[in-house]
Amino acid sequence: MSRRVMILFFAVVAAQVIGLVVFASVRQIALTEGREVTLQTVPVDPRSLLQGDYAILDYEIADVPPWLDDRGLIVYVVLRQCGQVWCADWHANHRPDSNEVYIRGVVNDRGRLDFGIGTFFVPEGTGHIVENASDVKVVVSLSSSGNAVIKEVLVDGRPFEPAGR
Amino acid sequence: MAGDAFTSRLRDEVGHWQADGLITDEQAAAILERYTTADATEPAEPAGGSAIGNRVVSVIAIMGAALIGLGIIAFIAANWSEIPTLAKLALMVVGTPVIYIVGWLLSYRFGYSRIGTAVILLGAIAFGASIHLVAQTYHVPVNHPNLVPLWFLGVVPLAYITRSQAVLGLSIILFLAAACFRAQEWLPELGSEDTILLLPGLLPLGAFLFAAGRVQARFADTRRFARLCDIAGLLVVAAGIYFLSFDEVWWDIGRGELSFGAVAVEYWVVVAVSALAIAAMLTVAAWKAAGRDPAQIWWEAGAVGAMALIAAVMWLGLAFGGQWLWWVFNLVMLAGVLAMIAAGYRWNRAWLVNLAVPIFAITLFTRYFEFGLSLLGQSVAFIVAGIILLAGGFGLEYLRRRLVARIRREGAGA
Repeated sequence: MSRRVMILFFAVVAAQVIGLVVFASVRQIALTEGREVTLQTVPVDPRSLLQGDYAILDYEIADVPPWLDDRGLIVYVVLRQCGQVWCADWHANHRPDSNEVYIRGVVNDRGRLDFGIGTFFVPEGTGHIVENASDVKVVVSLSSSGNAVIKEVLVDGRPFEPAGR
Repeated sequence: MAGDAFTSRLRDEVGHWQADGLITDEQAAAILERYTTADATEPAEPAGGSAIGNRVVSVIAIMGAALIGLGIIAFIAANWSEIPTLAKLALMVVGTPVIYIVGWLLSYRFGYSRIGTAVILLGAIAFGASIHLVAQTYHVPVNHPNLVPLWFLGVVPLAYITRSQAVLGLSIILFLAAACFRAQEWLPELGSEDTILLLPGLLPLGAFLFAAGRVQARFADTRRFARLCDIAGLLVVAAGIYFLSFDEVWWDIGRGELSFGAVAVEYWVVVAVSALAIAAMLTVAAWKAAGRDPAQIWWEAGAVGAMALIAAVMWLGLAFGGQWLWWVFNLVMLAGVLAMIAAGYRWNRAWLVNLAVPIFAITLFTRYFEFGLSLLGQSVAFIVAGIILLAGGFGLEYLRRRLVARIRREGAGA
């Protein structure tokens, strides 16, 4: 292998590592820097072939008003605190003022809003804990653009801990 | 040890010998393998039988890499809670380059080029597993449209840098998978009856791979990748035609109300970019082969032109209906199979004949079961199918053996 090819090889390997670190960093920054809100959910429990067990989370705030029910449309849900959780106050198809707390979603093929936080991965064989819970809430971190990252799942009022149950 | 200048010249010459029909693809690979291993410290291997031995070593090593890769993916899928998240991430972020370094050392320092290539393939699988581990850690769904495209973009340069067909094979699989995952962005209701509107897009993708194969065949450094791209491209095109060769599919299309308005602009951008890339690659391929074999250039251009025409008929058919189109696509499939056999016969490419025969057989038996089961009792249908299978198999095997024997007898070429 010539020196030039060797440099190219390790440059691609380095690019792969940088890509992974950037991918993780963007999510980590969103997690730590964002505004924290708690959302009410209704879970179901399928399985991913590549990523193992996970719970699909559907949110109370995922209802789409009829005038915005168009597949693929980006919808912003402005949130307000309703006791322990945050609920939908009003909807818009443009980004609200920065002094509002809002979450960005896309109308999916089921006519619900997909916020990119519909999947919660759990260790193998522990999906039933979420499935059997009577109350599941999700603590998410919201970035300034309204993108959400799951921070924690509260199962019956306590943080999800597969080993401790 | 063979010098860089010698091996470069040899690659060029071997390409010309292939093009002139003096040696087969296998012989070309064996000649190049004998001398290019001298790039490393591995001593030249004795002639005679070593090419088969080397292939066995490669296949076993690649199978081993694939098994370990599956093990890594299963490990990630288990989402083992005993390991802290940061430790898992560190394991993958550090582990992936370590696998690459081991592969590189085996290939280029210690002379175990085949084992080293398999370890580099393992690194490429581990990179994909790492992407999905990061996604899992932050609860990004597995079907996120950007994960597999990112995996593909990370892996494909390695195929060319390491000159590994196995890594290129993985890249082609990822390329096609990436298109499938991006399809979520192309249609708001993927899985609905509108999904069939995306199907003609298989033809530009297949034509892209085929054109990539043809242009790579014209350069000594990339010639070894040509056949893999050709086969993948032709299979993708055949798959697109096959799906639209069902009577029932066109019946459903006729009853439904399909709307191209539902298809996102990105889909058409991908089609347009593919068309431009295909035209550019064919131009370069024709320019490189100018004066050597004009008939072959025309055949390649004709094949890609036919693919474009078929895609256009598909889109028009889907837009304006026409239940009768099912038999058009059956005729197209038959014409395509005959063209592949004719091209294989004309340019002494046994692999084209070997590819065409199973495509024909699959289409034939699909049609038999599609129509036979509705007309006959199931038991009779299976008995008749068995007889047809035996007779058809004998006839096809007889034809294939004759063609392959003729190709081998005449001395083969590229």
